[in-house]
Amino acid sequence: MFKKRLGILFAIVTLMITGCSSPGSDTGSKANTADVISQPVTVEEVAALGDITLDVWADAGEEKTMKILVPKYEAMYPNVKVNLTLKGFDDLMKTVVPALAGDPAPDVVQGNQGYGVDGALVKGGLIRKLTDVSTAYNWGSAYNPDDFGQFSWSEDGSQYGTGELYGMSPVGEFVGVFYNKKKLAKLGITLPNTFDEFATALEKAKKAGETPIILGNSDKWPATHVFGLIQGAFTPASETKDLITGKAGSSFISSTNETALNTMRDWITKGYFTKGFDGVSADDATAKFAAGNGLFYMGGTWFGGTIGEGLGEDAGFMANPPGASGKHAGTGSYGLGWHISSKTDALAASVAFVAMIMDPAFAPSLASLDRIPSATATLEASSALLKDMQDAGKKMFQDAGLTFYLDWSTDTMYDVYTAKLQEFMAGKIKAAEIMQAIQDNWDTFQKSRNG
Amino acid sequence: MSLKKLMWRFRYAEWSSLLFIAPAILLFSIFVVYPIFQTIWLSFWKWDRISPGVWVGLDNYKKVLSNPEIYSAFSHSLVFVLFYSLIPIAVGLLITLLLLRVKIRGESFFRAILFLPQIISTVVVAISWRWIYAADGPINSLLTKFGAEKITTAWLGNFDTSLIAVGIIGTWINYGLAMILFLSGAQRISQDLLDADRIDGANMRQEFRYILIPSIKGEISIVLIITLTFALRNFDIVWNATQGGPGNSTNVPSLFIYKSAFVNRYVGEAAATSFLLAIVILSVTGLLLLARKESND
Repeated sequence: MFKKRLGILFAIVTLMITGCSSPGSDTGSKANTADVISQPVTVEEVAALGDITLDVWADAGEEKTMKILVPKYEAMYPNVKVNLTLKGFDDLMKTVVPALAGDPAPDVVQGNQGYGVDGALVKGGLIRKLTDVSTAYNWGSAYNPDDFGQFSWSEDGSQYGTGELYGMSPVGEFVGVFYNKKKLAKLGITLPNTFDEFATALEKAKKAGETPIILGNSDKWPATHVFGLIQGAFTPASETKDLITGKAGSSFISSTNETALNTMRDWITKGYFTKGFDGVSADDATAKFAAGNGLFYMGGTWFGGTIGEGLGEDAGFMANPPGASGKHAGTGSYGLGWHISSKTDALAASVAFVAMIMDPAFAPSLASLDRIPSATATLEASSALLKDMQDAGKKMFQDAGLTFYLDWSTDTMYDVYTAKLQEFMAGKIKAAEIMQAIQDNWDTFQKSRNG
Repeated sequence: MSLKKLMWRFRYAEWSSLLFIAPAILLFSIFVVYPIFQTIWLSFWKWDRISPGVWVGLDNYKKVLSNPEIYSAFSHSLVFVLFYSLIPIAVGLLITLLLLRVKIRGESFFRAILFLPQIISTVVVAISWRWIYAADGPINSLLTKFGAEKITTAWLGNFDTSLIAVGIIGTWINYGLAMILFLSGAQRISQDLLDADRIDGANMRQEFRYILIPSIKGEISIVLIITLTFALRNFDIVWNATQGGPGNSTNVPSLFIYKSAFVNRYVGEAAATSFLLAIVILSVTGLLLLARKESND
């Protein structure tokens, strides 16, 4: 009897353990790579799929865009019903990889450039190459092909920046300098054209008792965008991009990055930023600037709506003031890339969806929502602020100055970079230490990637 | 219970009685026991939630234990034990003692108000405190009003004050729980005993030591276990107040687990850290239960 009971107990424990099979053994992708798109997809090809539902996952920031695009798409392809799932950025980034690894996977998704998300999707064979789609739709003429690198990977996902195209976005999103026109005039400051002039303007504003730069960094990432702007004035954009895309021999440890870091620290010491910025959220800081506080706000174009609404005609935007090179450079990239699942059973419908949002004919709709189309064609801006942002975008695109985001460079860089930058800004560590920490993280990742 | 006794029970227990609790056991096994086994199992694998996992034995544990950040995260949890557990218990005891001696009009209303932080969502609490602690928030306004402008700071954004500031949020949430449980325990104290004690001339300190504490010993250990567990596995308050920052000054093990599992997709490391955290929590609560049992004996 005793032995029998022990046996039952043993069986239960064994069942529990063996119930835990080898993880990931059932998530293998059934890549749908056989079909090559050589011509734009036709309505007939999509109709041939019968009545289907297209599962699309997008960032919540796409809501307004989707409200225009989805009805247009469903009208053109009446047999397709779009099932749209909108998720907040953080939520999307955490769920999109396992969702595409699972079954059923969404057909079309937005990922995020860099090793953390897109790299994982490519490595896992979860998204389809779009090189053929790009050729079929001639994206190379509507968009600057030099910018395709941020969506390009080697097929095993180990090399970033070159190789096959795996995604694309129709908008540019970059950090620039918002300014309060009324305050600039009141302080007698002319709009700075160079980084030196910008530094002088900050000094003047501080002397006049104004907060020169509004910053809220409790979310940790906003200061990285400010640093990107300062870094752009000293370090050539290509160097930063090489590091982010994992080019062998790249290094964050450089005299130019050191100068940029020390400039940032100098500005903190001089009180150029919002007092207690590490305790202020990005949203609160934006709201403060939009309410008329401070002279400058170094932020992404995605804040244009809030700031334009708050400051109205007083809101202005300029590209990052260039350093000695005369080139405008700083944090930014195309928006979150659109990808097609390698498992989709509705390839034609998926391609048609991505092609429609990438169509330069859709760019005016994007511009009407205060977004910056990355298509090279010039568009009429609906407001002075949007015109400023479009002009700034042109300068950044022309100078190939979008330096991406440093956290794309490894899967754990975000944690290291944001935490170390906060420590550096608080004077807890020196420039050499943060540069070393970033480089160590990069080196370790590159080593693991290359086996 | 000795091992011999346990084996005896196991051997001669009336197993048919198990049928009555079978539904509960089934649910408990599916939602608690199985995930625990699965977590332990995953901790031996290198897995990114995409590719097939690779068996790495104890490598994840070695990696976690060789990361200096994990020790600082655990040390922050220890600081939180003070703020989330010990201080709320002290405040709860003080309020209970006061209410034993002083009868206040509308006591139940005040009790409800003081308990309120316990029932508000921790996300709401953290965001509210973010505003309270802000550089231009009410705390700093008050300090400025009283001429203490020099010490104003962004309390959650300052490396020197952020840990304590987050700790105080925990104190504010937990003291209500301590107070309510202590007060319910104190209701068992007979009025005759209190009267006799006061006629004999006992002061507040003596009443506290010889009557209150022995009467609510059970409640104290329950509150201690609940709040200690809360302090050690705390995630939501830290995440919503500081995200572990500035720098890593308020990082806690749960944040490590969250980031490893969902952001960086190092599932094995997340599972290993979870298991280590569970061991710490079980050890601490086990010691407390043992101490409670010994003091009862």
